Amino acid sequence: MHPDFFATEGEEARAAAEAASAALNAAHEILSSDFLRADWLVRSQGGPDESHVREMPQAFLLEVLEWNETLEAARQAAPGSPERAAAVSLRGELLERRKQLFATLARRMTPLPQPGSPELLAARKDLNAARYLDKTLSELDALRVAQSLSH
Amino acid sequence: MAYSNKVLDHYNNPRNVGSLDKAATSVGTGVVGAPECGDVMKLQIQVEGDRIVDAKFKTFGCGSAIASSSLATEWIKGKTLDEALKISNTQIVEELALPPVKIHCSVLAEDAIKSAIADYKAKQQG
Repeated sequence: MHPDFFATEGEEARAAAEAASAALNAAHEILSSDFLRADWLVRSQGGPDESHVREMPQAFLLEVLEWNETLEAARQAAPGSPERAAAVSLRGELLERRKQLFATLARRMTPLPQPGSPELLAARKDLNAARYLDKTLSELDALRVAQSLSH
Repeated sequence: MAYSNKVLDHYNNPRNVGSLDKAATSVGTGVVGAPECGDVMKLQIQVEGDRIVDAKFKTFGCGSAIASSSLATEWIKGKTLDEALKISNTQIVEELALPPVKIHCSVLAEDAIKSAIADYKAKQQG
């Protein structure tokens, strides 16, 4: 299947090998990510995509705002400061929340809900919450890298 | 993709950044988020009579989201609640020349205005 094995074949065989490899790479990318895997399953069952379920509970969005404020304070603070320590503990807390969120998602998607099931809507809401979590976590990680480089 | 000059201007000199007293009955608070990118925006209004006398925002997101909320606070200051409700995201898109991939930032700002006004109105009834 790898295109290198078809380099000396005809044009049609080369194109087919390339298409098959591209599909395999795309599938691998989805299967390697818990987020993309769940996202794909929700879509494949005809569930809503993220732009159709925009609303999040106010309490959750206020929390996201607080995470960002913690992050902002940590960015401006010196290494070893309480603000940096708060960001480290926030990271631990969010990783735990993420774990729980994906455990809930796994339960919702097993067995696979039928099209039209309210579980698909609930799963999409979980995935949207995961996006906010993941964005904050990636920024916390970036801060950690920047901090370790500055030492 | 380049940001327009107006976006850069609002991004570099955001207007009305900050917070108002969330607990005050004359203050309405709207918090909205964009699930596409994880951006979050808080917009607050202070109301006297039916007029918005002050507005503040805090946005954690891309340049377009910051510019959209900055512009929104500028536009709603001095307007009545009904006038402010008429502001639509397409006006923000036009003013800031936002590209299609950033339209959701302007939607976020419109939602934030509506959510802050709804919060204020709910407080008056409570």
